[in-house]
Amino acid sequence: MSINSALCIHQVSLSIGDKAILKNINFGVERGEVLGVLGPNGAGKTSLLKVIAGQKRHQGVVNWCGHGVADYSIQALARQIAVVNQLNDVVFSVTLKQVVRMGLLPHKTLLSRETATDSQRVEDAIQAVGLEGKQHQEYSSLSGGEQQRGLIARALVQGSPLLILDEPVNHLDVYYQHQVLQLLHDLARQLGVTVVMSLHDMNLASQYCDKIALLNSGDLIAYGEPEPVLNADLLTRVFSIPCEVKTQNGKPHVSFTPSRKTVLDLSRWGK
Amino acid sequence: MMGRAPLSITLKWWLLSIAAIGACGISLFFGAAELSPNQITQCLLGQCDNPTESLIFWQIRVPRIAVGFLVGIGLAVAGATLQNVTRNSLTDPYLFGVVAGAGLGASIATLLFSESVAAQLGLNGVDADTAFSIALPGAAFLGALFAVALVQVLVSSALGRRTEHLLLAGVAVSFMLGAFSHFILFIAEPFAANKVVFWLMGSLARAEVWYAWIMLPIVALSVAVLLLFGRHLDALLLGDESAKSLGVNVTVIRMLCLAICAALTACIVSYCGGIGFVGLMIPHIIRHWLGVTSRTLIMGCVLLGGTFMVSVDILARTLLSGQEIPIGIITSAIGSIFFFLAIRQRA
Amino acid sequence: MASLGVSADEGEKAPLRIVALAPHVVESLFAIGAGNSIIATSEHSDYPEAAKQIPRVGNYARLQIERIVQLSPDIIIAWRTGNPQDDLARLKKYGLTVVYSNPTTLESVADELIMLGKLVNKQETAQRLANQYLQRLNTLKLEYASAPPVTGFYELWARPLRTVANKAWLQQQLEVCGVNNPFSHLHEDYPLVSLEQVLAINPQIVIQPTPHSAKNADALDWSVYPHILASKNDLIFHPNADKTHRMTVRMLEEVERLCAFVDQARQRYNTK
Repeated sequence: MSINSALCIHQVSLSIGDKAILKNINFGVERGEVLGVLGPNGAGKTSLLKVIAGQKRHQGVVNWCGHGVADYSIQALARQIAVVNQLNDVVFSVTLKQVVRMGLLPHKTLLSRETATDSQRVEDAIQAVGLEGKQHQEYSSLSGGEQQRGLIARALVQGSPLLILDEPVNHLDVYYQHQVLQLLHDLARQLGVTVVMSLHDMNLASQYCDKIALLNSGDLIAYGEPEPVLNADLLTRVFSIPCEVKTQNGKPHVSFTPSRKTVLDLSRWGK
Repeated sequence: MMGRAPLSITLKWWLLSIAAIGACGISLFFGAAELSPNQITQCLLGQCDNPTESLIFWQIRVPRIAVGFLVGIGLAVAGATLQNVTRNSLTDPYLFGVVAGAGLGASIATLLFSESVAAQLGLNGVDADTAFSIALPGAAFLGALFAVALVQVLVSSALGRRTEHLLLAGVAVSFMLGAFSHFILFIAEPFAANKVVFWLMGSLARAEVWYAWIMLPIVALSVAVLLLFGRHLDALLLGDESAKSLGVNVTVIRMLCLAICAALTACIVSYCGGIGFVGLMIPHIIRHWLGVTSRTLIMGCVLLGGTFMVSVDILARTLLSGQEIPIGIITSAIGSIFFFLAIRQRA
Repeated sequence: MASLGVSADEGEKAPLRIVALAPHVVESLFAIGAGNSIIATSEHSDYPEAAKQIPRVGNYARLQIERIVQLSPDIIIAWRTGNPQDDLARLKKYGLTVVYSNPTTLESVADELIMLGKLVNKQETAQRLANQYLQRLNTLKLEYASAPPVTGFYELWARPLRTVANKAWLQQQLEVCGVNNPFSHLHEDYPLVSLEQVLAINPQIVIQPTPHSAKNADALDWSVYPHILASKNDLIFHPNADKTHRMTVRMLEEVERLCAFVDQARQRYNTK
């Protein structure tokens, strides 16, 4: 972590009761970088993202652009950080366009009206995630993947310099997985947006992330560029499955090689 | 969706506005006193034939229509806001114990203002009556506020601020205060119970000019504030965390909405008794017909709520000759049919 | 309607326009010959027969303010127990004259008649009627003043079980007839009592008022308690509530019947 880091995570710990969720996490992310947070379930990925977004009380310091995240007012923080969560709990028949339009909220005062620029921005965002034509459809009737893309469109409209996404490509098919991650990559490169996201797929992380943070049971096992982090021994230890790492197109490519040993003797379950 | 092409939004707004004005206009021609259309148009122009007509028209009939419209707005808007804030389309403004609290206040007032007490206080004749006519709504208002405060205390001390707990606390307070007021009615003199039960049925018959002048700023201010914070209310629809990440101070907005709804409902219930279902039905209709977002929803509730109330009041005044049906009975009847149909449509 | 002659010099002025908001007021007005002054009344004003034709403008809960104002009555005669107080205050606010009828004792029916007589300018008729009434009442009182009391229970309502006491209108009737009401010392006029208390008293007579003398399906079935004196001796009386509950001259007829019944019971118990 250097002094110029836009996002500074310093000695961050989080416990719920006796259980330690995060233990002494330290790293820094530069402006315009894409960070992928990896790890098995229960490693603390979601909690880490919530801490960075200022949604959870914790020990330690999270600094964004030199200021502690806790020091921003709620509306100022919304202008700096946009969050795309996993679970969505939408009631009533809100349309997709209405959801995406909410990204304008941090930039509006009570009395300001929606301008033509705003409307255009909303349309562009919807197009960027590939949902044109679905503006007036009920958000709750969209598929899981479409809902996720809708939330990403909302974050685009919000236009914050730090974008935090919790497993953004979980429900998407291969085509949209790549489209969305490329979109995030373009945001980082062209607009200097800092992107922090959690992923399951190591190879997607390898292709699209500048930095990777590997978590396991609340510890930061490794942090750095994909090559050093995506190390076969490290991954085998963390995920408890043997794996191999090759280089493909200049980036590490992980393939898991399970032993294929029978786990369950099903002979007793026959007729 | 229906078979024919949906009406454009602008057309729908026009329809609502015309209905609102139309309902108020038509309502002028109905009432216990028989005034010919000629007399009514003359009175509207300020040229009533005689002082009695002027009294009936300007002191009784017009205030009643104005109050009806304002009450319709208040109940519909309070219902819509509470539903958005609690993210539950079945939330009713009365779920927070407001009617039970007001009923308790009314029961206590009726108990304390019996004949014997009035005589002891040296109030005779009409003075006693005037005192009672202020005491009942006053006590009901205090009772309503007490219920709201009680719910707040329950929620913040023991249960935490989740909306399910808010609703549960409201139901608990309703039952508790209801038990108290039923007990008071049980031990009071027989006529007292009649009076309170009748008051609970809800009626616009008491509407007077001064009440209209009080309700107007309260309703206008509430609607203005809610419209102002419309975008924030919309963000709440996606969940608390989502709203927070968009810069909405969820706790403050929620408390503000609850306070506004409590004030609106307390003012209405203390004077007009329990008029039910309006806060459930009207937002439901507007959501399906016009839209879900707060600004549209609230403006729609303003127009439709007022129209509905004024129209139903015409029925209340004219269905039976020689007396009035308490308007709460009619709104409950319509409301129950409405929900039966709504459930069937969903199934 | 009691028969009476109308004096020649009464009723010369233009007839008053009265809104009478209680059945007993309507009855009394008709009794003094001022029935045609009543332009509107409240529900349940059904005696005499002509009263049924008078337009209704409200009930115990709500008055039709618009209509009453439009009728522009000279006087509104109200009864606080049975009229909505806030509506009365409102009518006064609009400049209408509100007069209260409030007879509290059996004797005050006479005062009421005189008051009404003054209002409608039928003082002579009213005075005569009042005198007749008081005479009749006093005769009744004297007749049973020294009679040995009979213990009775007045079953006003069955569910919940309510009786009369204190200064209640009906309690005064019981006193005239020489009925000992064990609950009369209670502070409320219409107290709630428990069935065990009543059974413990073992009343010699039971009084179950019925509207229009019709059988009241909701009343207690005393045949279930055959050991109670009133039940054993079938001394259960059903006065016509329309008459006894209203503070009018007509009530005395029913009180006379009640006293005769009580006396009959008295004879029965004394000869045993």
